[in-house]
Amino acid sequence: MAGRAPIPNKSSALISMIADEDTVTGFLLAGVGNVDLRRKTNYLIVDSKTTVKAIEDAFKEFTTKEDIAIVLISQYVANMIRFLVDSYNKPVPAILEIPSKDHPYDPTHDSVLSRVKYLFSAESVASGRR
Amino acid sequence: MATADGAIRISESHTVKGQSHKDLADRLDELFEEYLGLLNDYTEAREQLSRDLSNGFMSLAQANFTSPNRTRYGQDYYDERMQALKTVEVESEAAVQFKTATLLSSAMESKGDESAGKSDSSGGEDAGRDPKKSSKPEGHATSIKKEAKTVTDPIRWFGVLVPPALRSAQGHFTATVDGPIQQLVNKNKAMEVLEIEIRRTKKKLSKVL
Repeated sequence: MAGRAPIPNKSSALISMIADEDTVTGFLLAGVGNVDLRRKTNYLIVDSKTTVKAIEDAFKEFTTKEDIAIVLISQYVANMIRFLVDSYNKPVPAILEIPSKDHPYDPTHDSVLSRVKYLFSAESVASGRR
Repeated sequence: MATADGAIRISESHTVKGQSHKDLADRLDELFEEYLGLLNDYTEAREQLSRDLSNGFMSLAQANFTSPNRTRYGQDYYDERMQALKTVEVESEAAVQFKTATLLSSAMESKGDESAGKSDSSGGEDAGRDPKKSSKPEGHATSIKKEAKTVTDPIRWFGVLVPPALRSAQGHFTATVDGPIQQLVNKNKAMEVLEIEIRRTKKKLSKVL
């Protein structure tokens, strides 16, 4: 029964997470965790029992909620729902893929780097000339 | 589409809306330079993120290893009424800029200090977190209000006497949120804006050619 937590500012938004337990624990320690009135958390812990459907649902929920500004997602989890992550194109919330304990960051799956690759590729130059 | 039109186009070329080929090429070079600078910042922030998270995971593993009673610092200890202490403010609508704000430190820094800014008009508790009621985070940054009276450090969920490794893990993860995550998101957004500009300039350049 520690003290009551403060009510966040209306103009402030949350950081949500879809990651393994250790990553979520770490970020919750940093103070990004939140439970709303409907007892919905702003994180999803992914373990071996979590289905792809559950991850998809959580991703859709976090990306449509208006009080979320950043969605942190472990890269290996993002790979499970790559089609959803790649088709997402809204400015807010921003999606950020992060490394996890067992899966180090893989630059080949980074959406930003693949965009950079496309921009500098011959195809892009050719399409620019059309 | 052949000669006559083509000749006219060529004779008129090197100027589209007063912009010569050279101007456009120079502009494209500038944009690429800026873009590569952002890319460099992005990769550096990525490395920093990997380092910070790796240190955080290491400290957390150490805390779990040295914990008395073999307790694991995980979801069993989460406070089910937790409220976010670290939030994000979305600045400027055109080029979205994210900025993290910490309620914990602001509350600690100014206990009882009443800011001259807007007073909190939201009546009901937790209204800010209700997805239906909460307004979309946009517009310019506002300073954090100091309404926080009692703030619970999340590390308290795990007990009063927590191992130093857990505190260290908290420090690493906090640094991650304030530093690389904020940078990565902002650089990514800035790169997206530049990409559009680069494509436009390329298109103009191809018309001039």
